[in-house]
Amino acid sequence: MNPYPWRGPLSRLTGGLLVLLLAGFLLVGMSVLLGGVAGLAPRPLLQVELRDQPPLAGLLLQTEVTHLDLLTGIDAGRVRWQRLPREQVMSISEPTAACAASNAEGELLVQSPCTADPQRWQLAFPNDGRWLAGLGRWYDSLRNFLLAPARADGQGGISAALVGTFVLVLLMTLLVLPFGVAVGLYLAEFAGTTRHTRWLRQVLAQLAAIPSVVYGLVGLGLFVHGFGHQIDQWFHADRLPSPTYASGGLLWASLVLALLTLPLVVVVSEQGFRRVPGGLREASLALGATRSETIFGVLLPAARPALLTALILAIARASAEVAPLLLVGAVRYAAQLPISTEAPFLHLERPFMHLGYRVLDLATSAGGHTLAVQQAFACALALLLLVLALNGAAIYARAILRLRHEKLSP
Amino acid sequence: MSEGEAAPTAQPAALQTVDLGLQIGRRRVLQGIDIAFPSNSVTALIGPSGCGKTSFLRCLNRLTELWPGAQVTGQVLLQGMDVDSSRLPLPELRRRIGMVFQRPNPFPGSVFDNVAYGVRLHRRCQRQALEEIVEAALHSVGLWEEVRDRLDEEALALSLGQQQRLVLARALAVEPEVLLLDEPASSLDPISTLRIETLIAELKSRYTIVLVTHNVQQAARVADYTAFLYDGRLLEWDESVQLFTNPRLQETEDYITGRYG
Amino acid sequence: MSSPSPATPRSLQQRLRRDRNLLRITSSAAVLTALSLLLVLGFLVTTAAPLLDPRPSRPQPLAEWTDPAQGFPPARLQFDADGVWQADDSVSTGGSQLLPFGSDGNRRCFEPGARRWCLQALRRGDGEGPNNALRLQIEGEPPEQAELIVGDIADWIAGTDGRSALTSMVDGRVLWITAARDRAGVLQLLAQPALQQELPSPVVSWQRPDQGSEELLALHADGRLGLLRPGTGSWRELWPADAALVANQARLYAGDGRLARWQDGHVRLHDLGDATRAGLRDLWQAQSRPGQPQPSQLWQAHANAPEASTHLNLWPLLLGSLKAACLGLLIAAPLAMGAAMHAVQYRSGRLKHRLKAGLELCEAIPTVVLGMLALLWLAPWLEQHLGLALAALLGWLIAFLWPARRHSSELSDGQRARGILRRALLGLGLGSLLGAWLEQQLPGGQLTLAMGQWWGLQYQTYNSIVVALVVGLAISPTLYSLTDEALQAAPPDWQEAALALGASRRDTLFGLLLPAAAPGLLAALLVSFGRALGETLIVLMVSGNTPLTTLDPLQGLRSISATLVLEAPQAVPGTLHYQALLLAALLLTLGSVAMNLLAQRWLRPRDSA
Repeated sequence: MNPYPWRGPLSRLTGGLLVLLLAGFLLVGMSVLLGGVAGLAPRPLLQVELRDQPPLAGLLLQTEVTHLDLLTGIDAGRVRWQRLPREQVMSISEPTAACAASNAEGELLVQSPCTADPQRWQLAFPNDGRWLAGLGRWYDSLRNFLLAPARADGQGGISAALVGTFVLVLLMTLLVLPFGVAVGLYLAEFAGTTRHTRWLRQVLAQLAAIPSVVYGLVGLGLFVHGFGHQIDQWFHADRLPSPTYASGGLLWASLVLALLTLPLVVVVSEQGFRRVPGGLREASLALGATRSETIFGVLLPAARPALLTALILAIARASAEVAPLLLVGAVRYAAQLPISTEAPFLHLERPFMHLGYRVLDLATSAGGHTLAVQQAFACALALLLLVLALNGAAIYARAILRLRHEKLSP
Repeated sequence: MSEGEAAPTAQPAALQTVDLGLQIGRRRVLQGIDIAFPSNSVTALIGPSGCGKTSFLRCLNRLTELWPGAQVTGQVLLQGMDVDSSRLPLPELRRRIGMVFQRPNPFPGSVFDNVAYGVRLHRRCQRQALEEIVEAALHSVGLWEEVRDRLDEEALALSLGQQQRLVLARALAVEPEVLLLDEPASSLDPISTLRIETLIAELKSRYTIVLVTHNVQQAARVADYTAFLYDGRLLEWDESVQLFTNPRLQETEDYITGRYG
Repeated sequence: MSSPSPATPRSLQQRLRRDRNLLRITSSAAVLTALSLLLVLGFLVTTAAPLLDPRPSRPQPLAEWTDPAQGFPPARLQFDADGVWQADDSVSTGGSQLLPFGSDGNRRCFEPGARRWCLQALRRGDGEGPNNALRLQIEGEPPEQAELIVGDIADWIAGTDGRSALTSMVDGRVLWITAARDRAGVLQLLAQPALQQELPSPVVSWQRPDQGSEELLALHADGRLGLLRPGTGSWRELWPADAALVANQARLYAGDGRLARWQDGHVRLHDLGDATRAGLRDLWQAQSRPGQPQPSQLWQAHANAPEASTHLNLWPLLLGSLKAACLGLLIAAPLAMGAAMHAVQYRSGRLKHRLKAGLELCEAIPTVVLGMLALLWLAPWLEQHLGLALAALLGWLIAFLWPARRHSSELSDGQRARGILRRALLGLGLGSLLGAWLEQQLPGGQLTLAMGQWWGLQYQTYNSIVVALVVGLAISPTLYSLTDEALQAAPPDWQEAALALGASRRDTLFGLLLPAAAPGLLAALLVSFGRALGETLIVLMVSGNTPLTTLDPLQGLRSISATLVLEAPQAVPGTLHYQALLLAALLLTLGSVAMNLLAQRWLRPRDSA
């Protein structure tokens, strides 16, 4: 029986609030999805009429207040594009009178307006031999979005931001997972319920309550200005006064994120260890295993889904977090990736690009430029998909955990 | 010493307790228990629920350390050696005193890994030797024929009765001297129970067995000696035949005739 | 001997050692975790500590000399490394010079761009006497000039921007002189009081402790030494009045952390120490600004406009954070708590579970995405269609308060859900249609424009209401799941038991169930409030980031968290700005932690039960 019988208007009103809440998030999801897909959509073929010149047809590459860039064709793999000053442009329209055809290689050719002159056919964009021209255009657009190198003006592909996010989160995981699991293990297996553990639990609860931006500030003040400065004095004195570690970079950002996600990892992994049926622990000890052998032989394997959940939740939390990164090294454009093929391969001191930061940057600097807005939506969609997929994975792992838990204790 | 107690045997004792007591927090769970388990025999511990049978068993291999606030007093002697002495560290003690629990608790993992788990802890084995040990252990619980083709399958997929025998094989694989069986058949169906009882009778020749049971008939069927625990004390301890046919105390008689329990 | 055995026993000692090591490792990890909180709090406290220490030291006397020249104060004083006075002011090798920055009464020039701005004090009118006017000359094309007679000037000093000046008058007033252009674009000088408090005696000499510093040392006529902070308009005594120090001719010199006062040929050298350090009070006082009649509370860390100076007052930031969090909670509380109240009514556990899981997924939505949506889409849309949005909301409210034909407890879950959806679509749809039509009829076709015409309300695109909407949405999932847990905590059989005892349903609800859930609900509110306080990106992107002290929800705001993100990377460690930022962060942290602790306290009775 339901303990709370809200009745009449109250019931209807709360129902309405539920709808409103769900509608709000539905709206968020749909607008990011639609905006993102629209941002990723291949740009339409445009016909541009210019003063004193023949009209041009092509793909819009970029639009600015002063000019627009039009992709007018591709010759032997070389992109031909033209920068058209705004004051020269008389009208822009989607060419209804344009003709399209594909050649023997499956590439799309456009001509606008349609003429019988074979010389006027132009290659609109590479098609890669896809069976459907439309699909090919989508594929190109998506590939461009994912793989094109980043540009200093905020345009370009998101590959560098993805790499930055990925390396950052990976480093954070390497830092926080062993540490957090060790603390969880201590709380679940060694500590019992003494006053110390109550204190430790309190500390973890408060660590979780501190706003993330404060962690960023601590990272900036303590790690960058404090530790980083010392490291520079000791190891990179030759490069002073230009900072090596005394400016925001990958190492400090991942440390900050590790600190941020530590309470989460500890709590989830401790719960995981506690949920392992006591019988397994006893059985292992009764066979003459030491505690550590019991932990490594039985508990860790049995708690693996919980540890996986902790891992995924930490990654999801870290990849959604932007505020602290603004203080410790995320930049709008990094000329170099934090990983390279030269030793030491991983460059901990380098600033990095980040997907969330890119959304922030594109959105705040868009200023009404449709292309920047489209890019922002597309990046937001990518970020949202990434985070939701990770959280979905965590929910799935927890379901496995529950299943295994039920199986272990018949 | 409790009043109804007697030393029923002159056989050498594999395991013996001297004035054993257990206190958890403020509560006295066991007190003043003197009992000896003769080698190669089965001793059954009976008594009403909550009388301390399981606690007593855990005192023997010191699993009481898992209980916060548990304190053991008195001595437990394994082959005459105090189990608390530094010459007998806990892992070694527990290797020599194996234990099987009420509910089968195989580890998540394959049948083979379950049996090999204990062996791997104590020895560095080559695969060949390990396989032999596992096979021998499974043979001795009569499980080999049933699982020989399923060694790599999940142990949790076996039936409950098979799981309990697997757990027994796991305990046997580390070559213990004493086996503590904590109501090993309580969660099993009658046929599996019968198999376990037969097994106990077979294993008697190689091991000293301490069997906790709430089933008086089972004790009468399987045990050479029977001890009656009541409210944390050892009330009566004698050869099974003697105890079941001619109990010396009224409480024992009440219990075995089913007036309480 | 025999061949190697296939099974050699492992070393027991080694196994036990490994066991002990694991305990050691895990417990030291636990200790490190505990230390990390100390690290965070300790860093914030120690860095902001100079502000928290209430008593800065006094300037310590170092030495005294008598200037043999006696007559007029020299252009500069000079000391060698040991602090030994060198009488000859022409010597300039070695040692340190204490310069009377800018207070020489002569021209002081500044070059912000192509043109050169020069300020100069001079005597106007008839008769002998001290300077009584200031003149600003702009050299370059075209040359401009402005002059203002202010009265007898005791001493003046140019602002760090070079375009304003602080003058102390012989009668004891202190005036800001600022350059401004009138409507016709003509350059002019304006004078206004610079301090809120009366100074105990006129200032005869101004000095900056260091060349770029904002604060000013003031030598008073009665021999007193004071510290004036033009940014905060506050004055503090550094050295008490002393009749023996009253002089006809006096001047201050400073540099290298030292201060010298020249009084009728007698020189006293002091070590400044941390005497000029700002205190906590300096960050909360209303501040006078050049160009504004009323002292105001202002946070302006960077002097971005030529006539502006930096001002550090934490009040607008604190108010901004509280405003965003409170308004956000005002949106989220009815939304999330109402939704959770409704969800516990459903009979089907699966539906409840799905709702909760779905909203937990929503909790994970990065706030930067929400902020982006609000920035690019919601805020501009609301500005154009505020009327439509309000009408839709009204329609929704009417739809849900419209009486039902059947009582909700007679309905199945599915019927109830369908009923709700029908009402929502009807209400929102009709409301927005009506709203769209109504808005067409308004002057300007927008409610926001009409509001300006009718009531003179200024609607900012990025205002506190938009911030509240988005922050409210962002914290709603948290509030929802906490509320859900609090409500589920009451065992369902309580109601049956109470009804069996003869209590009415209303009695049960208000007398038994809600009191049982109340601590949990309060804790949920507190935790969500803490979350909203720390929310950074939404506020950063949507609020407009203007530090205001108004409570008007139609204006923007600037929160502590957004300020940290915007300013901390550029702030130089050790400066007042940096310390103030750290103090703000400390306040934010303590606020969030206090909310959390309070919530735990409220939750504890249930935990122990």
